[in-house]
Amino acid sequence: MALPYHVLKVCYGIVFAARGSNIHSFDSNFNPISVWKYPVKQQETNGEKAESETPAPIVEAEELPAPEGPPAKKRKVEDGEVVAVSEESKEESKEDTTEGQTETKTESQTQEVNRRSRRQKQKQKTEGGWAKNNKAVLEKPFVQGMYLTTDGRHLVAITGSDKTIWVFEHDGAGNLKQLSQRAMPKRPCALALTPDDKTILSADKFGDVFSLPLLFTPSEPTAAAAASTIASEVATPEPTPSAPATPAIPTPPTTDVAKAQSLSVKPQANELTVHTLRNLKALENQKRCLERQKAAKLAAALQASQFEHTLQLGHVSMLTSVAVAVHPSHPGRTYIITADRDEHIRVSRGIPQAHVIEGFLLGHDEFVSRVCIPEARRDVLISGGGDDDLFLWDWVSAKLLGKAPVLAEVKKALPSAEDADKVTKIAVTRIFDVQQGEKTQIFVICERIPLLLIYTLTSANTLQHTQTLSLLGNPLDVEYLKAESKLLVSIDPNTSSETQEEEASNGGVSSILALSFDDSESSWKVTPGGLKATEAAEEESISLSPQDLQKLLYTTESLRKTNKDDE
Amino acid sequence: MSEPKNKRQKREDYRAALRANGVTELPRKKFYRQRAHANPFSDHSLIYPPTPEQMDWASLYPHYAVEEPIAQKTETTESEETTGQELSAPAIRKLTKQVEVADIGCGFGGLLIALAPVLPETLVLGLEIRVSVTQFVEDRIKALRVQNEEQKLYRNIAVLRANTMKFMPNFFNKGQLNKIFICFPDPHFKARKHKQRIVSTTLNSEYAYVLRPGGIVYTITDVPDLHEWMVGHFNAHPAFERVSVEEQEADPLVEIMRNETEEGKKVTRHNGQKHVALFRRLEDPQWPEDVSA
Repeated sequence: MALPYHVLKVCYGIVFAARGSNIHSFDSNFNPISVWKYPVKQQETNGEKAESETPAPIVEAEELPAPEGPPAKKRKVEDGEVVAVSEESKEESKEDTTEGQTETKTESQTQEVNRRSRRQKQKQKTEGGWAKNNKAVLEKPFVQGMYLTTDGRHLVAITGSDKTIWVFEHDGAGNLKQLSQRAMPKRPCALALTPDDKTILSADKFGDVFSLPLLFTPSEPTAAAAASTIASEVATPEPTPSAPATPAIPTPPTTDVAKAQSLSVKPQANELTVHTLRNLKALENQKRCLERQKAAKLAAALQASQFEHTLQLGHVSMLTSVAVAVHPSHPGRTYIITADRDEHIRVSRGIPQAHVIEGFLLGHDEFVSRVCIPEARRDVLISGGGDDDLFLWDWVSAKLLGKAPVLAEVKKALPSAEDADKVTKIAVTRIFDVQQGEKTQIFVICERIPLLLIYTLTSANTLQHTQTLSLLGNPLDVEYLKAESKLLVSIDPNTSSETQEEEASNGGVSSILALSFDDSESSWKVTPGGLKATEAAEEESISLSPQDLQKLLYTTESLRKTNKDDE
Repeated sequence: MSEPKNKRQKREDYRAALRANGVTELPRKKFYRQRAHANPFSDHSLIYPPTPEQMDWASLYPHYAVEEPIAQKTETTESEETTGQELSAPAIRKLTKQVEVADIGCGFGGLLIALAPVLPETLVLGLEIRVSVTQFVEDRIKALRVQNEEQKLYRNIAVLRANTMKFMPNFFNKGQLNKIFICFPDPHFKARKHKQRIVSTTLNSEYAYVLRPGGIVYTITDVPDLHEWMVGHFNAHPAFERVSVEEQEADPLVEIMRNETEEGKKVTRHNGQKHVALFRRLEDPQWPEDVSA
């Protein structure tokens, strides 16, 4: 089993491709430049050092901070060893003050987490087949997305199960230097960068959008956190419960601490608000419990997010996509556009007025998974998700301009009628725009559909389907190498086995396809110059079962609402 | 296990009988009981329109419906070229006026029924997430309409099952509402449940969206800490300011809110405290670029 390159990002002539939890970089001819490896910790070394199983060409992976203190909530865990990447970098590891006290708790917490961990179950299932060093693979979360600053100097990545946002410095030649890692309170689903490249907007699974500075120094906030805790410990008589996380006022750590405190001080119900004996009893119980938890909570609040992040806006639904947009008519105004699982696309003002909702783009019947504002046509927005169509919007006036069929095109392009009948719904995973002279081309891929759909955005604001390209496996991501006018499509090599064998005789399957536009036939065609799977698979083969890998790679369709519980 | 089944059977029989009679008598609460909490994050099988324009208000307020369904041809010329899909939907009967007052979490509907004669010219909508409770209010309003047919009362109130935390913008346009009532909301005492509270920084932005500038959010609760939470969050939100106590007490609706909601009556019976706070929706701030220009 080979891991596919499931996320691509092009920075001028450099291609960044995430594979599992690592980020590889290539030049435009797919000569490998470097690999950043997700820092792994081994039990013996107690996480002092980043373990790289195989010597990579250039490993830019920073040394990992030693695990310290209790794990941040729900962090990945390996055989009782906490992989708590608790706050940033090495400076902090010097600050060992709390470590000793919390050591014992760490153990028990870890065990608890372990017991509950679903991973653990999977482990037991497949234990026999696992090579020793492969244990680490599962605990390494997959890269979920990569984002570039406009100047290309920084790459921001999110990894899934550890909820971490990584910031790398890019030297322009494909080498990454890890600057920071920040574990968010909830799992980030998508990021966007503000036009000034200074702020990251992180949209999370619980519907909130936080802003955090791109660059930060880890040591300082820690001190600030400690200071504010002390301050609040000494003087928080004002009853404002959990100083509401106002927009544009830093939420943590004050909030967490205050929350923990105000909670532990007294329960919110009183004898007048509960009316039954049982509830009274429960109230007494609650009081006792709170008393006991007080210390624990304070400690936890201290541990939680010790870096600056500000709540900007929120949905009561899982966010799937976020974009920062500027409408051509008002170049001075920025907007934040967020899409969620409950069919909404919200247009809010940019920071510092993100609390003002300008409008909603309503009309989707299923989840929205992607929004795309074409670089050359910033006045329109294309959205897609679980619906049969793409939606085209005039987003600033919240008007639907039109729709373009996706499912119908997919059905048309599938080789047999049988296959076509099987596909009854689609989940759009990528909408990607490429400007080709005057033409704005839109590339769309859907989950588990081995097709690349190509549309043209006309000046009359319609989306016209122009081509469907059959691929040899499921496409995972699309990117564009501008200098070479090459479109890159990463392919899951584990799909469609028959064609693979066929291909193998022709020199191997490509894990990243290169396409170029053929002017004579005015269509996109596969050209040589992609990345062959054989070249790619040189290192660690994956220890995940195919099912688990599928679960990690194909997550969009699961956004669809199925078992709607009621009552 | 036959007992609960019996109970359910009784309920169903009762409700069916009530409907068969054309709902002329007031429904009895005991056939509509439901546990007091609903998880706002789960995917209930809710019915909601994709956009406010596609909401069928006429079935809720039949007496305010425009006589004949408007042929929407004239309006759609612009979008006609895009797709015909929107046109295929049955023409929706429009109302002569819009809903302007919403009671979020209306429960058994006490406030709605008290407001109906006080705001005779305004359409008031109750929103409730629990199915049985919504049905009770529905039957209650139906019965009241029949009983007061001559006075034409209770035609301006209606109830809808909805999860407002998720789907409020599906029902109301920007600035459509004039008043929002949030009466005795679920306090969600546990810290980890605070995100389920109906008032939060991020949700307040949505209330600001559906309220027009000058519109008012009415809150009341018997839980002091929840009161502080709501005051804290609305005060902290740039789009709201608290209404002064004098102005608050001068508002006749405050008295109704205190005494007419089911929860309010219950709190009175138990000699509980009632904490009221009103917040006014402010104008949106100018864009930063306009300020500097």
